[in-house]
Amino acid sequence: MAAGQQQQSPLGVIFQTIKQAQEEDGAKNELEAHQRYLSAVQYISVLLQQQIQIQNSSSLSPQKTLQLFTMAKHCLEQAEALYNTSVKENRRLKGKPPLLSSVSLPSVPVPSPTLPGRESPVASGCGRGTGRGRGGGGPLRSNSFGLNTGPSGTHPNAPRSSSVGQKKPPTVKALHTISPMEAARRENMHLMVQYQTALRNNPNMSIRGSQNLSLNYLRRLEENLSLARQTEKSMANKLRQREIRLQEEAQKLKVRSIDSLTAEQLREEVIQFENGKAKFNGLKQALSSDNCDNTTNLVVNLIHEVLNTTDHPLRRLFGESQYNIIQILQPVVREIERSGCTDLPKLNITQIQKDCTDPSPSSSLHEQRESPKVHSRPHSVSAPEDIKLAQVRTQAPGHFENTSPVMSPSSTGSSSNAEEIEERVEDEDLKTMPDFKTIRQDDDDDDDDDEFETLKANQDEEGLSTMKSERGRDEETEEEDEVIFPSLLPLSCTPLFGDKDKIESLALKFEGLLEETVKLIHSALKKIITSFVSIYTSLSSRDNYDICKTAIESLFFPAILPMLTSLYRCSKYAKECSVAVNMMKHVNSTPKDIAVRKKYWLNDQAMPPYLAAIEQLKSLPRLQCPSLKLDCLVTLSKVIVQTIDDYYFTGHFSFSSSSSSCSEKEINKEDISVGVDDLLPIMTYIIIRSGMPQLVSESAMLQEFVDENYLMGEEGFCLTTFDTALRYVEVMSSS
Amino acid sequence: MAARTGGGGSLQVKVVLLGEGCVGKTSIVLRYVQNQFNDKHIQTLQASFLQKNLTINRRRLCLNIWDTAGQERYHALGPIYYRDSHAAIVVYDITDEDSFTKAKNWVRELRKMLGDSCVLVIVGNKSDLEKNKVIQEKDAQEYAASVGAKHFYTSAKQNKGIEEMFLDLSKRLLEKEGNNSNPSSTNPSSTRRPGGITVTDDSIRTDRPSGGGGGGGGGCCG
Repeated sequence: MAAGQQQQSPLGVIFQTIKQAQEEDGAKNELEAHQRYLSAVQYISVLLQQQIQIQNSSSLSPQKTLQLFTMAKHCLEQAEALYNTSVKENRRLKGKPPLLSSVSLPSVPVPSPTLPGRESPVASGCGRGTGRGRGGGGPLRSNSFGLNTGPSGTHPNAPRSSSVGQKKPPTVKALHTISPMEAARRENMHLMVQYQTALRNNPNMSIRGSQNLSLNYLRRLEENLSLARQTEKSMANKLRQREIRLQEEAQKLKVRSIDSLTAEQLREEVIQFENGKAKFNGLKQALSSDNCDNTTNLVVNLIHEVLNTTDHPLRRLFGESQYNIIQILQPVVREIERSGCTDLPKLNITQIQKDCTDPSPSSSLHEQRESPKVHSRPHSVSAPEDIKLAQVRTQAPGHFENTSPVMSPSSTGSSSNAEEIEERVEDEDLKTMPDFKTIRQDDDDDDDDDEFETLKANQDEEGLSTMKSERGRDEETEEEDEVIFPSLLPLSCTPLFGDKDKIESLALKFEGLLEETVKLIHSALKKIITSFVSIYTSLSSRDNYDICKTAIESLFFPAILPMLTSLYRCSKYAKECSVAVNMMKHVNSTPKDIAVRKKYWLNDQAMPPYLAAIEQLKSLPRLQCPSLKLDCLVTLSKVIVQTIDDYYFTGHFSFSSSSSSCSEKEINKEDISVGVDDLLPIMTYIIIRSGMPQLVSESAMLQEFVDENYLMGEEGFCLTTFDTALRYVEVMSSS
Repeated sequence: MAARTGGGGSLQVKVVLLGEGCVGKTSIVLRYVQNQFNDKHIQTLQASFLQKNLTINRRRLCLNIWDTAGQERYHALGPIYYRDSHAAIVVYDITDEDSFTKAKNWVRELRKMLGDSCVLVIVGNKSDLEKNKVIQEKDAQEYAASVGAKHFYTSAKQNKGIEEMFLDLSKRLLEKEGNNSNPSSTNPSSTRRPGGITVTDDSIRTDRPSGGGGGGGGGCCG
């Protein structure tokens, strides 16, 4: 150990630094000199700082202090002068601050590693913190600049040939907010200075005395540190607790699963949330006071208001439940979609031209293309819709056949049809082109539904709106032919079943999942409704409860029903296929074929009997809520009865010139009482004509989600009748 | 939403109507509910599904009368109709031996499906055709007793025996309800009082609101 250097006081260090700086300056070593001067200023300022902090320090007299100030000024002036000259020459000093880092920092002004045993206990006790307190020399904190490769890192007694280039140490401004550990470190540093001073002032102290002194200081250092550690720990604890509390609050507001709340908690939250919100209070008051027949609206309003308020706890419960279900359904539906099995089986029902009775789609296409009759219909110029329909009729079967099972654009089908069209367009109305294009585009899309809809729409439109004129034309131009209205033309039905194995394996895979999802939906709905009823007590009356339940369900289902339907369709695939096959076989059935009693055939009209009911049924899959679907079925049954009633008693359809049935119409009203014996076959006929195998899934879903209370009444009856007819379609023989 | 049945604290029961197509079961119900045929505002579902509200001895009862299909081809699907029924009316034609056999089949099936919990009535319709009767009263009564049912003669044409049959059925349903609590009961507080029975034929709501959200509470039984 180099004892001479070890004993150097801070003042000595400063003097030496200044001396070195002057030397460097003289040697034109401007950079070094500049740095040294600055270091000296820093040392001085540190020493002066200590002087203020340690009141009882006796190391410096006032005179010395003043001297230090002068020295510092002088050093600064020198440094400034050097800087100015160097800036003029080049911008090295300014431009390359990293250069400074190559110069090691001294660990002074505490070059006092003589403290016996200081290295081991303190360093091991406080780890890095103490190391910094020791080596960094307090406010300088050389470590924080990553420069600890100098004397502080290797050996505290290394030659302090280097100088400090740092600007103001960052700790200064942090004085007000220093951590307990930092404070302790500083205090320790001052203790070290004191210790050194004590040692220096008593160079002749006995070994024992110096040991005592060392131990004394060591103890104080340790005490400081452990105290600081404790304070820091408790502070950290407090901080953590605060954080947890904040997090809890945040969760309470946003993140925490509202689903996990108890009814009582939820109730409290709602009360808290609604507190002071006039609209809720108003509604609640109106509900509790009002017993007029306006209650229905009030209940619905309240529910809509609550579920439209984004932050309302009940709305969150609602959204969360919905989200959970969607989370389950979404991947399933994606998988079904990926396998290309969505919306299958499906029937593409198209009307066949009356002159091609061959049931085979391909041959019908063939015949049509070669048949001159089709191409040279005299009235076609004046009837764009007619052409459109005819084209669809010819095109669709071939197209479907080529691309079955899963639809994709078929080049042969399309091109041949395109040729056909060009042919036609040449001698026919150009206005037909856009129409056809629309249909073609639908073809090219993989979206079967759209196409199906288009076809259907055309068909229906044709059937309803152009029926009369069409008939007139037919009679004029094709007198020898039997009068057949477009909607009574035979239908061609092409089923799409998709990849049977694939779908069935998917169905097997999702078997349990469907059940689980259904259970989840039930429990979610139950929870939401129960919460509503328990929070708004006025909803607990039976009627209000029902209204509330219906309103909530009608808001709950639309988001999940399409996905749920996909899952249902997948799991009911086999049944749907049977239904589809039977629908296809009986596509041209009349009520007579389904063994409807003769008085309900209603077949003297210009359109298929019970068309209104068929249309009613077709709207079923589009409805997004079980209760609406149930209503649809009730309406369906009523439409059937109404149709019969109209047929016999109001003469609503009496425009038909055919009077052959007039004698049949001489029927006593007493005889027209539609019991299930009649309703079921009619329903069967309507289901077949609808061509929608997915009704199987719709029915299954309805039976699952229709309120038990409905099952006994009219709604339940209509659903049961519908389901029975559907089951009959599933099993009916081909005879 | 269409009005929910079951409001107003009345007891909701499901009654199925069984019988071959030609026995006139729908006529019986129409007679009972409508009491006349030429009422234009007949319930829109006509004879397929009918509701009748009664107040018997201060207890309200709502009969949901479900017609069922008599045809053989729908026979296998029958159970869907009569599951959860509280009562069944099995109708046969007194002039038709075959219809009586069919009725027996239905009774057997009902008992199998619903056990003894179902209130059973066997009705011999077309009692106005007494002279063509082929099913003797004694046989019919004996059979009814053997299956725990009551036997009635009705004539839809002459409107005879129908009220009595339904009244008896309703009373038995209420009695049953008094003994074992029926899950469909919405008025558990009401108790059966001894004394004379008063029957009020509550007016029926002919047209129910269809479509639209909410719907009117109370429904037919309000």
